[in-house]
Amino acid sequence: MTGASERVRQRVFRLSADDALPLRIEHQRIYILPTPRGWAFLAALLLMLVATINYALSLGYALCFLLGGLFAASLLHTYRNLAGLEVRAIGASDTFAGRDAAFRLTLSTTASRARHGIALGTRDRLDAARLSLARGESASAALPVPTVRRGHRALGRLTLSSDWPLGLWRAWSYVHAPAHALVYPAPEASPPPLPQRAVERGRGVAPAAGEGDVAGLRAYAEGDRPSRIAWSSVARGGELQVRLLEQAGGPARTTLDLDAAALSSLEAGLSRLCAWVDEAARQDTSFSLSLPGTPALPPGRGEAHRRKALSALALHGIDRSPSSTTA
Amino acid sequence: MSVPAEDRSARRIRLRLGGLRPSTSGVDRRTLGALALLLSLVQLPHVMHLPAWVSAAGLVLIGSRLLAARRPDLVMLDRMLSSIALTLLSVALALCIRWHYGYFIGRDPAVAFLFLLVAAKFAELRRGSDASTLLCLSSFLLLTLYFYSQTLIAALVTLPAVLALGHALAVLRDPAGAPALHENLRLVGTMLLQGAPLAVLLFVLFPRLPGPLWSLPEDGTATTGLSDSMSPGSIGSLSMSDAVAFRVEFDDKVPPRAARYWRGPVLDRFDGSRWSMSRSRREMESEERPVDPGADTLAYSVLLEPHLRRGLFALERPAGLPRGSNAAGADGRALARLMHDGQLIADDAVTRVLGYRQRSTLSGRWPTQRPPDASLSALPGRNPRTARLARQLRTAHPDPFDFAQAVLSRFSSAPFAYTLTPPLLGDAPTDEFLFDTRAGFCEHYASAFTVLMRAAGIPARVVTGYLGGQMNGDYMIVRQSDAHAWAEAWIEGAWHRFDPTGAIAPSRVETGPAAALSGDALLPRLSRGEASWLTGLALRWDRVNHGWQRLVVDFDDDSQAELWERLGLDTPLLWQSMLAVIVAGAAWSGLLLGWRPCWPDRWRRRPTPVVERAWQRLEHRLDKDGLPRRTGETGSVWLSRAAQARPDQAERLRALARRFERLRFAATRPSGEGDRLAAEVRELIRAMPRR
Repeated sequence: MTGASERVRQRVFRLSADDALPLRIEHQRIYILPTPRGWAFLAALLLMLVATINYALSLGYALCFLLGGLFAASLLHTYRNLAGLEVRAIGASDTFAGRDAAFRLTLSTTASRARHGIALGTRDRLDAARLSLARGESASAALPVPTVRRGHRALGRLTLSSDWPLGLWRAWSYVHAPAHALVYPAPEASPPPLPQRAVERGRGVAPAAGEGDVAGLRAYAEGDRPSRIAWSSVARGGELQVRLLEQAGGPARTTLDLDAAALSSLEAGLSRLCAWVDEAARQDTSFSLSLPGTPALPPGRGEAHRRKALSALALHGIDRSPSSTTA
Repeated sequence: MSVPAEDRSARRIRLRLGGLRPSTSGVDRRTLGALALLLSLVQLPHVMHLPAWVSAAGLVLIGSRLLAARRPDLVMLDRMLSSIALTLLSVALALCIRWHYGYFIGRDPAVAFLFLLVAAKFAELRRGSDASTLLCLSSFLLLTLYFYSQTLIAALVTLPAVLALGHALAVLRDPAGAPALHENLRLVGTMLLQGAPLAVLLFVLFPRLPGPLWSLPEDGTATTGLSDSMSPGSIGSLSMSDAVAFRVEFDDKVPPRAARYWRGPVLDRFDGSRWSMSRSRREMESEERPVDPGADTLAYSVLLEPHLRRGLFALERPAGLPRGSNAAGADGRALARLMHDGQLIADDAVTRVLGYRQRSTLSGRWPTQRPPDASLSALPGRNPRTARLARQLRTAHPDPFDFAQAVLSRFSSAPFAYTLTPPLLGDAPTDEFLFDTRAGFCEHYASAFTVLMRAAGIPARVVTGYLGGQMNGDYMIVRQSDAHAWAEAWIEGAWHRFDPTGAIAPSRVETGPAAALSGDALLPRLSRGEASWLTGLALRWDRVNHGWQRLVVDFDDDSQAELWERLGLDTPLLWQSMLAVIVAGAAWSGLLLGWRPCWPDRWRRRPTPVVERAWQRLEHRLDKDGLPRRTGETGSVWLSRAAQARPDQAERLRALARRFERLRFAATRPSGEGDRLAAEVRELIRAMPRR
């Protein structure tokens, strides 16, 4: 019995994320009700009908029923605008806690029908984006979702709705597919400089103090920061190259861990580490990261390394599978 | 965030001017444009019947709002269009309307107020919800147009407004993203057409009520047509109009022109100058309704235009009560009562086109057992010269008929004239008319005749109504210009009709008002009886309108009953109608959503490919010519055999054989090749003479 009622609840409200993509919106998941304007229009029609009956106006009947027919026809058009729409994919990009996670929703339509003004909404923002599709086209829209804590951020239940063409009816549909964004800890706003003691083979000068002279050039690799590109050589017609900096005597290396953060609270420590990882990546300093309970991240540099480090920070102490999610 | 200095100062000015927020904000231009289009289409037809100041006020309100949107720098205007100012203005306008009409709770003042309310709402338009209210109010205003006119024109005028309503809805939904006007109109038009079958079904099925749910205080002081009183000599000229009073369809024969007396209000009270209806009126009792086997009885249907009075019209002497016009039998509801003076009076004023069936006896004599009241001989002594003349004539002619004849011959012999522009008369109008001015129209003669009869001691009364009618195809049009007045006198146990106008201008009775007046330009074009292309066109248009009236406007409970009867059905009960609408609605939705009924597979015919069909056709043709394809014979062998048998078509047959082969076994078919082949086969078959 509970199972059955659970199934009905799931079917009606789509509370848990078990829709598989791509998904075609069929009639069993489309709801439709008049908008406030639709209700007002209906009330006006009824009032007109009463006046018509009282004064026995034949043309009044004709007008009331003509507008009634328009009302009914617009219901079907609103329904058809949503029916058969396909949710092809949902993508997500990582973000820092406190900022919006950007989900990307791709919709497509059949070759026979264009779609107008499809509103996409989440639990937090009912009208987060709008999309229109020409016949047979597919398009995507960005859905910003606010985040609070690090970890996995689920997109949650999506509401696709439309009141096209006359705004008298609103049809909507719930889609709840598993989609997650990874949320890194919020970086500390003004962190202390990268840990001094951790700089190896340095001469006691913090790399954060400034950038040294150019030591040489190497070929551009994906993930290199634009500020490091040797634009002068590009301007001369050469290939994209990146400046290697002389950092006070040799490539800097640092080890980041919670002890270095020296904060009693775990979250505050992770925030500081997060800020440091970013700082290290900005300075192109090689760093390693070790967190209790997880294998340490060997020293490295570059965007991929940075992401690995940030992911480790995001998921520290959290079950790795996305099903245990935080909002 | 820095605000430009101009903006800041403008805002400061606005704030200083009473702290009102700027009223023109919040609504974009496209919304405003779409709503202005809607309002102009809804309001314009109302200008025809509204007082000029109401139309002007509406125009000013709408114009000022559009100006405010174009010129946001006009701060004073902006401030005037605030909701507080407009609420005060609406109250003031309501008071003006009350003052203009003399009452407020009624149809006409309500329509005028609604007209102004719509304009005021537009002027203060700010939010989406304001626009919703505006749309609903304008829909209602659109409906109220039918209070005044339900002609074909009125219906056609409504259609653009309905389209504009749809356009406004679409623009309001998404002002920035809504498509252009013509695309919206196409969309709304499509939806209207899709909704039309449902609308027609509802129009036919929706149960009509025989009477109103409630009635508002008597509406309409401005009436067309006959009034309930008559004062000869008080108006200098009779204004006549082409307006249709009613239309008549006779069941079999059409009465002759001189017998087309349509009986209306009977005036039997006279105060010396003014005739009016008596207050003590009663229904005619059954013994007063004579059975007259010898008299000619006619049956006909009348479509009466709304005249906002309670009187119905019947030819000469009503023989029975008016019944619903479309009821197949005579069992239809009686629509009016027959009063003692022979008038048909309905319970309510006729505010819409009313159709009824009526039977009449064609006879100017109306026998009645009951002698008339003494009041029908009463005469105030304001016309002494007339009284003296009556006494003189009565001594000369003691017989009442002789007396009446003497009066009529006096009208025809003395220098009396028939004119539509008679001189005004003073305190003793009958005296002045009979002895001084001696010029007038039907009212004057009927009144003078009745006064003379009464002065001679013969009970008499004035009857008003219409005389005449113009045949237009299979029906008759009776116009306001056919209005007429005549007299009735009670002589020897019966009321007799006398038409004194006939004595002075016999042609008025014989052919109509046009003939009685030579070159009188007062007569409207359609009443002049000239046969011009314009008149012909007008009559044709009237025929269209008449059909419209009968089919659409006059569609009521009786028409519904008749429809069911013609279909051989009982009148459906309410739940049956509702069920029919629901089933039809479901089928309609399914059809529009593109659901097709699922036929079983064997019912479904698969289209035979075009090449195969052509091959079959050729086989069939050659088989008829005695060249059947043998079992196991390949197509090319068979066709070369046929080519030998038919040397005249040999080349063609061989070429066809090659092409069939190529098409059958080719991996890909060039597009259109099958169709070309089929065309060639057809041509070949046509070219082969049959044996």
